[in-house]
Amino acid sequence: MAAPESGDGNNGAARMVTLISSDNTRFEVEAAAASLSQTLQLTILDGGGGGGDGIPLPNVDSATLSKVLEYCIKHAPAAANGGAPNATAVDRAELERFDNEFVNIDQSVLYSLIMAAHNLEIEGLQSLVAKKVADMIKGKSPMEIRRTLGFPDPTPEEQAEMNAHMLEYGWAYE
Amino acid sequence: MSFRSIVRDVRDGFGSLSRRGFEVKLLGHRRGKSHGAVHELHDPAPVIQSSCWANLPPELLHDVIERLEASEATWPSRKHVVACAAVCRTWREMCNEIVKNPEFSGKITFPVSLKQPGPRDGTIQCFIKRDKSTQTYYLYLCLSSGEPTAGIMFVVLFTSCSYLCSIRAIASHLQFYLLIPSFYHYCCVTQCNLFPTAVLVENGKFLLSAKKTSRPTCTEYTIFMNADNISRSNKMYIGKLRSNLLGTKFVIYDTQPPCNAANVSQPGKTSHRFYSRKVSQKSTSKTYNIAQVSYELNVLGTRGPRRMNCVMHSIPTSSLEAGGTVPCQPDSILARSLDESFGSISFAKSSVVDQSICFSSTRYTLTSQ
Repeated sequence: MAAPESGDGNNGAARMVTLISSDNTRFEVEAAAASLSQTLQLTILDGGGGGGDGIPLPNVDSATLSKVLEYCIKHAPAAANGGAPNATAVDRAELERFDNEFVNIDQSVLYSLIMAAHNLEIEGLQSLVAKKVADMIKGKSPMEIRRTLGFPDPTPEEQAEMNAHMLEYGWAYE
Repeated sequence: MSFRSIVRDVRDGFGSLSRRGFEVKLLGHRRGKSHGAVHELHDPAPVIQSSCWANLPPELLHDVIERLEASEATWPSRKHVVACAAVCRTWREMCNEIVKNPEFSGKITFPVSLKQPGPRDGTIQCFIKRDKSTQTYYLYLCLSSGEPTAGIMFVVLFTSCSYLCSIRAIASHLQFYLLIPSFYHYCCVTQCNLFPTAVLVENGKFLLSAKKTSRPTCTEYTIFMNADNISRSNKMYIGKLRSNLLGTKFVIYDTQPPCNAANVSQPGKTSHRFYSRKVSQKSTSKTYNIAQVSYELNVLGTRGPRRMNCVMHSIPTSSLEAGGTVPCQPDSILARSLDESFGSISFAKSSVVDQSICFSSTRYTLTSQ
């Protein structure tokens, strides 16, 4: 991630980029943090996002974007070290603690997060949320999973299909 | 959570739903939008946030379920993967894509795993429990590794590449045989101790049960995929095994036709396969001869090692060869898609060669009960 700094000749202070959420809120963030997003990294390498013109992110609202950037800022130093080969155990534990708390949020926010991570191609965040969701549905019945994730009520057809499958899948609970 | 509570859970959901379904009809649209009877394919922008998970992009759903599947490798927590498959059709398709057949994963996940080929290398261990009072036999997947204590539990070693479809319990006198016609190299019959029901079954995942019925000319074992409340009218009835009086010849019947055509992908199949009550009732009476097993008597009569000959009608010879694959694997263990299957049986049969395999059992422990 050192490339943008040296390449752009922005010495001294870390290069900043501006991101604009779907509701037109501007976020100024270090290029290194934003570069955790594969999508943004390309734009930033091209010199975008600096100065007055920010990078518009029409698919991400400000609440989600601030959450995403919170993650990126926290993870940027470790990522800059190339997967943190020289990170101490303390650093790793701290990141892990941060991650655990970070995803301890409502499922609707989790959804926005995983979608944003997917759109922006932030691999670490996407797997973090995917893991959280996997943990959330573990040990739940199909109906509980639906409720937990706020699925709409099944249509009669869906319901009949579920019933038919539960007849067979009930075997798993014997 | 018990199976009953799960089913109740699903049914309760259904109850409340039918009421809602009625309202929907009256209102035209459940969300009360102003379009009357016009159904929109997609709700406009302000989608109810919480329902989004139902439309999670496939690659993200894959990510989630793959993680879950990887973390729940053993029973009983493996059932969490099965629960995911029942959430909705999209999830089920994703689960089916992610969960590998036992042939490749060595794991039993969905009930249909019992009808799919086992691993070519390695074994799957099982044990059997008998309830003398009800003449019922229970087959369990062994969950604890290591040799069990002799006399309490005898683990049946499934030889490599066993075809779990053909697990059928044969009881002959006081000895219990588990039949695992393995279709790659040989068949395996392993004798095992029967042990009293009092023995804890916490170490096992229930697989199949078989109820013994003695008839004047034969003995029949009806096979179910549930452990209690078993009767022929039960929807969990999946087949039977009939032996001659001497216990030397066994015929295995399946409620699904051999080389079930259900796996031949047919668009729209799932949309109507579950609703035909008539079909499922019919299936309980119709069975198909899928395999035959016969034993040669030795000097010990029915005891001791015996040569076994197994003919499986549904496994083509090519499956036995290196790199061979097993065609026509069913996608469901229950015979509920008969309506679609009938049309394709005839073509399926022509491609199937009877496979005769001889096997001398090498692993025997004579038991006296």
